[in-house]
Amino acid sequence: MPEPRHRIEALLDANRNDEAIEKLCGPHAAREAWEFALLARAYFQRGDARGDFYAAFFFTARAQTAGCDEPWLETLRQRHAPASGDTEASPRRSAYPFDALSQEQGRAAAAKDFDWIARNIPCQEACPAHTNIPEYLTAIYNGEHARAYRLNLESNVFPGVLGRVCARPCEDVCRHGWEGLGDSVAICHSKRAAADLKGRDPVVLDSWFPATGKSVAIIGAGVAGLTIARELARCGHSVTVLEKHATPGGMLNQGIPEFRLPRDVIAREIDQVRALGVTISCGVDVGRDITLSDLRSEHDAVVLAAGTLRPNLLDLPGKALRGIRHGLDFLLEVNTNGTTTIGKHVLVIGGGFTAMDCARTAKRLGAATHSFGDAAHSDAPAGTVLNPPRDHVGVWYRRTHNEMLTTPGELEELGHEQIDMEFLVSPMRYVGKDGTVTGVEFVRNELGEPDASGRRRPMPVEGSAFVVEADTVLLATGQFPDGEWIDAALQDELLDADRWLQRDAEGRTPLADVFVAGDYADGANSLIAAIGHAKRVLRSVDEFLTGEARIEDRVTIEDATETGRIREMDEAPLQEIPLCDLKERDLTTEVETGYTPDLAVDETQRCYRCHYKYEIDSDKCIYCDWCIKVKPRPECILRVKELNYDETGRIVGWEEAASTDETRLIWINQEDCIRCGACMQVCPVDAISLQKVDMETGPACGRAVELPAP
Amino acid sequence: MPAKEQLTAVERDKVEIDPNFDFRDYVSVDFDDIPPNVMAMFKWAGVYSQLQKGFFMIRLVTPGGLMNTEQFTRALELADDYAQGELCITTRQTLQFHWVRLPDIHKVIEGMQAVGITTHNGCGDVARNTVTCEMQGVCPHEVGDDVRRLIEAVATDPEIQQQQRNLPRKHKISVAGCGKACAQTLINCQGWVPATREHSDGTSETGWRFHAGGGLGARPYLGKVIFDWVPCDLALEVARATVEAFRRHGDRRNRTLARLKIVVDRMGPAAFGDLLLDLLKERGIEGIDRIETAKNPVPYIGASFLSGQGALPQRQAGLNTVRILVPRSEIRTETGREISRLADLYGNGEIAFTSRQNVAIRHVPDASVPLLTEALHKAGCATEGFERAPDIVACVGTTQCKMAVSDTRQSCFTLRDELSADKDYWNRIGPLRIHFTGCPNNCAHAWSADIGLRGRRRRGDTGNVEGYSIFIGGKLSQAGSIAEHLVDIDSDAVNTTVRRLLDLYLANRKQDEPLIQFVERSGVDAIRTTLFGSEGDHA
Repeated sequence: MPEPRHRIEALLDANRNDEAIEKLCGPHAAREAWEFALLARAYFQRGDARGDFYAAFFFTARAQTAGCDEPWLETLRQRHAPASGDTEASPRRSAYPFDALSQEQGRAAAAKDFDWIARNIPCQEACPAHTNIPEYLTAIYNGEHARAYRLNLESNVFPGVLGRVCARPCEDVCRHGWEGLGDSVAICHSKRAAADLKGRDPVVLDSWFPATGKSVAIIGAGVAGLTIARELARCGHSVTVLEKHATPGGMLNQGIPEFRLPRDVIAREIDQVRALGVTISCGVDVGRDITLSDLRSEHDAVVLAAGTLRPNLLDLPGKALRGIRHGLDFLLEVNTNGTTTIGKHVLVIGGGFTAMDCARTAKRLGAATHSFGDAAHSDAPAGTVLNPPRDHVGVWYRRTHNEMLTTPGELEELGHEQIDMEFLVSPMRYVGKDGTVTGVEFVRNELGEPDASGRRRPMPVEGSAFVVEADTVLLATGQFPDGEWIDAALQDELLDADRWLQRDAEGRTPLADVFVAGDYADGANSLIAAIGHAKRVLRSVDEFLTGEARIEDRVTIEDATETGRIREMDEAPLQEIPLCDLKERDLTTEVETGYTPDLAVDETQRCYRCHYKYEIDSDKCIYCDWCIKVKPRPECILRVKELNYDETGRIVGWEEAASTDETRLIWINQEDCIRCGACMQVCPVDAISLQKVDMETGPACGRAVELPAP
Repeated sequence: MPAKEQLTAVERDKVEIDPNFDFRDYVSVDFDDIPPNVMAMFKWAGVYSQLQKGFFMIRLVTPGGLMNTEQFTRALELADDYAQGELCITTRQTLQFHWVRLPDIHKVIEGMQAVGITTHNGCGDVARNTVTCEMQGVCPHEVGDDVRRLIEAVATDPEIQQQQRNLPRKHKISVAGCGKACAQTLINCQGWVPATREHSDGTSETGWRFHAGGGLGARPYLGKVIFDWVPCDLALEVARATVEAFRRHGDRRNRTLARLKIVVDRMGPAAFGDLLLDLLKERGIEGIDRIETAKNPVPYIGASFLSGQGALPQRQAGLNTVRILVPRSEIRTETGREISRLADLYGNGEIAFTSRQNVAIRHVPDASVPLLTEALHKAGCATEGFERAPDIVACVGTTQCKMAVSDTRQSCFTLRDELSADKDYWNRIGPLRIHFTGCPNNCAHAWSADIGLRGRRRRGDTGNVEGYSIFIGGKLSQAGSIAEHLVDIDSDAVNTTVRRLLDLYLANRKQDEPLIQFVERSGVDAIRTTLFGSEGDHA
């Protein structure tokens, strides 16, 4: 039944225009003068959608033609009076500034350029070495493994190593892993693929500067020491690295088990550092064989990159019992000698990289237990995780797996290798008999508020103590820099009250010629963090030696026509890394066997290639909204009333437009953009540009010097 | 391996959703309950959702733009009942209803079916309404007797119209009556132009010159000659093969690159011709050796002979076609009824819809022309100004179309009012084709106009301002040309800017030089500089 007129008028009086339109158009097409008039009023009152004002005008005319002479109709009709068309054409408004970056082409180095990189290429920003991840993943996808390896090598020095054991902060922030977008790209495994598939010839980077005549001694041949060594060599300095242990590599050789990191991979990449002229002297114990003062007098600068060799031993009752040892010490022994003595009940205390390595190594040394040594695996070789199962190894950690600092996938491997894990437990004391440990008393925890590290603090539960049997306790509870080897005369100047190095963020110490890099500066952290830190310190050292800031970061911007991807790649599933069979898992057989070339393509195609930038030229944009119609994300393209800038010109926010008329810009919010290119495909006026934006590090502009031929 | 290309969402819908809708099923359905992808497939039945939510546009299919008065009267009745008393004439020579409610769609469709007019393939990725010259069948210049036959053959061919309903994008066919530009050959996917061959035995045979690859939209292309001559008995086969070639080779990944024009451009006209010959062979078509491939792909189309005539003598002695200028294509039903009555009274009841969105009454005896003209004037219809300043082509713009960004309707009327008022002025200008199109889809053909205004909005100091990009110098004769960008203006500067351009032309043209020649001779850059100062200030 048609709605009575007065009810529709009541709806309009209440500004319930949608309902009024529905009532007027519901039963039949409007045909009476009063229906036209009320429709005109409804559309005019609503006036919030494109087409409303024309509809109001249209039905006004209909109403008037049909004989309705309500005076307000004439007022309404006048509102739609045509523009005179007699205004002079106005000049073009100021050109669209292409706000995302400081310039449209070429090399740029403004704060907003680096800010763009930081906010748009989350993987590269998260990587302490700022590796150009999208570019090398693209290279791998294209089968350019050597190029991909070289890109990595430039940034992180040890691609083959990191492709196996990196902490992967990049993957935590990968745009593909954002809510609703699937899984992060397996960046690390892909990196390894490039190293595995590039061929075995050494890759030696070009030097940046000719010889300076300056010499630098570096104490410690771990990743930080070797990183800064390589970069100083590229800067033309003479570099000698002094290493206490018999082999260089630091934690790579002494801490990480071979089944995670084959030694030939380490050796090849360290050889590439040597190939740049770096001298590595092993078996030199600074403090004993030579003093820091000696080194200062022999060299123009000294870099302390001695790592963290002072173990954090838990100060618990019973700590002197036999069978309790620090995990790093345990790993060093196994990694040096291939074995060590171990009991049947091994308890690993801790929740980090070392804890994982200790547990898995202990398992391979025969501390394995549990039921997976069934008949099906009875042919498993001796010394693998399957044979012989003797007893118990487990990891005990005071927080939960969410707070653990491990390599992604490693917890799953502990599961595969049937190593027990116990969470929310803290050791209270060691239990022993005849001077040997027989167990550990734990107390159960619950998680409280976050502590300084941001992780939730474990809080003991009263009355929950219990004792666990153990004849070997491995403490993976951290380690600190050791400053005791430093000349006593210098300790006061270099060490602060708690025996840590006095240093600034760029690795400078109170002694102008002494610098500190890697874990030795800030304590144990990931390999990639140490590399990133060493690269920062490099600039301090080089500037000290030359008196100039010769190394710079810069952004290169170049036009592109396509990213090389298709949308279907976004739906490709994450490729798991192939693993060796459990029965093959011994102390030296690498567990992760690496991507095949096909798998590397399958995985790297998934990268969104966030280093591409889509931007709408507002001078060309006609506000047709076609891009908005095809956008894949709620906020990737916005109708913007105003962009907000900070004092450096960075875009720091926006105000969305409430209507078509209020829209000053159709704007690509690049931080939400998944680089699908749909907008560029549909743009009818070619207003959307595509550019590739890369960050690179090298000699400052005008500083690059022609080098003599090698 | 790298991910393989899958069907896009639109292509999936085209496979999965049956476009043969029975709109009686939707009588009681709530608008909001119709999935957008289903609603998008309504187009295959000639039904588009209108900008105003809940209303629809319905487009008829009238091959060659002809109707009889029975059909036209039915359309007017339906418009009165279900479309707010108004019909619009399209640039593809057919009619559109607007403001149709969902429960009334089937009434309009069935009402027109009852008089032999369909909406099948009115829109969608299909072969659209076949266009021709507005004088087709009555034109003194028409070559041979096969023109109407080919139009009908294409428009009713089961393969083209029924089987080929999943093309990569829309497909447009033009069949001209002679070698002149009236049928807009160069902006259609297929352009058929009559051509005569002298055989070695001294006989001659009328056949067709075949063009392909024209189309405007956001990326304009002009058709190229594919075959210099196709015998009449093979024309439909070539048309079919062309549709099939499009089906196979059109870019279904990107709808902006999906049209046949892109296929022909990427492949090249010669290779496209070879492809068609291969397809004909594949289909076992005999006699294809009689097809002459193009010696030169550059078209040569004669100038349109339509130039201002109100009444045009027909090839049928003593009869005339009388044209009615329809302001911005909108026919109110009361006017339409009078046109229909007059067509019966003075003509033979045949009505033609033109690509310039006007109407023509046909077969009017010489003696009746003045009477009809007078009656039309009484009814408020203009019968002069064709192909002149008052004869402006425009789409609906932001009044009813979801794609438009500018109110072309209003701009059209504003400019028309100004230019029409000064008859001496527009007579001095002479031939002039002004087109307003509301978005880059170019339904109103701004690219091929003398002066084309394409809707755009421009960034303002706050918000944005409605306006136009003005293009000049488009033409559909000879090899054709795409209009070039002159300037961007706000809507309130349309009249002033067009007038300044026309004044410049009047002051500087050489004798009877038409605007297009003036533009070609002067160059768009020079015109811009003269009008607006240093280049780019307004661009």
